[in-house]
Amino acid sequence: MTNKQLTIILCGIVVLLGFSFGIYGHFNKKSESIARLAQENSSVFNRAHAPTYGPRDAKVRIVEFFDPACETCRAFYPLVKRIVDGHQGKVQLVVRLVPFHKGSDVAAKILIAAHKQNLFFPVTEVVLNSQDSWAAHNQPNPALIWTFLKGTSLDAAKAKQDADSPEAQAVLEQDLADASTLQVTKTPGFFVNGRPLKEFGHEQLKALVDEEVKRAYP
Amino acid sequence: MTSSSSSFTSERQWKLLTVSWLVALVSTLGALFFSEVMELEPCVLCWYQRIAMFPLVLILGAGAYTQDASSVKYALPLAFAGWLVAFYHCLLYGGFIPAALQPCSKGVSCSEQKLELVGFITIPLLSLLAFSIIVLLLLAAKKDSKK
Repeated sequence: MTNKQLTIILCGIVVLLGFSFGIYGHFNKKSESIARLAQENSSVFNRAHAPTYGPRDAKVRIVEFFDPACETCRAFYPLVKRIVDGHQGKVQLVVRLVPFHKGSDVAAKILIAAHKQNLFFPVTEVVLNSQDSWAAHNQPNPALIWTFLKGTSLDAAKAKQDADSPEAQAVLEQDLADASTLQVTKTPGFFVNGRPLKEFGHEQLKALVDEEVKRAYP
Repeated sequence: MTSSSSSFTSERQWKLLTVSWLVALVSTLGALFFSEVMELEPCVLCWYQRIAMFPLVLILGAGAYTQDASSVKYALPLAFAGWLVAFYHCLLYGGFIPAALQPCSKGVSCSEQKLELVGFITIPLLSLLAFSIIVLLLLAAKKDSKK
């Protein structure tokens, strides 16, 4: 190998090392700023308007940033519920609505209206089960949701009014603003007691919850 | 001219090639950092500049590694094409071209300012700077091989 070839290889290594440090520094800074928010017990994770599942006094709180039109959110819905149920009173789920898909803002507002009638979770289940019909990515038709909701005990006339209200809009804007503060760009986005789920997956979420339960209930 | 030794780089040419390779390498990694780490989605014009910049890393890298002077003539058209797109992008960004001519109506807008590092330095400006340096260095290297 000539000196010139060695120079090229060394230069390449130095630049790649610098790049790796840059990535490391970036993620470090990001997780530090989120950890700071978690320590301050900042309200970005939880708002009074957010629907919850599980006991209020649970010491472990899962915050899920949820999009009703997102397929992965649908797949995670029973899994997350099972995690909460499995820990008997130690874990609470907080749902934040971030409609990143086209048309899912309408669906999110219906969920907000359902929450007002204490029917957030039953209505969410119907909305998710009918996702294929109303949430086609090229041509979403969220107005269809109302027909699927006929079998539930939801007061549709009142819910329609609530979904169109400025309060529903404000709730949505607050959730989106908090998602942006926490740099949630994909759904579902999970935080467990303020700790972000770094590597996405069901097992990883379970492990993170287990860890926090052990810490909170030694 | 016809002998195989004529395609070997001179000392000066090799240095020019190496520096332009380093510029392309840093630009490529920088672009990947913006899109993959900071998760800024590249717009259409950014993609065209990436199409020109990414292969330059390999062409210039292989050229400098094997000390092949002919790599200059393969790299120059790419660098120049990238420079043109970057120049157009900067004009668009700076508002010198009216918004009606914007090529992106859906998704990410090409004229929306995403990052200003120190006051006026934007991503398209960094790209224009990188392509300019590469074009100038390669032109200097090309001039050398004509002698």
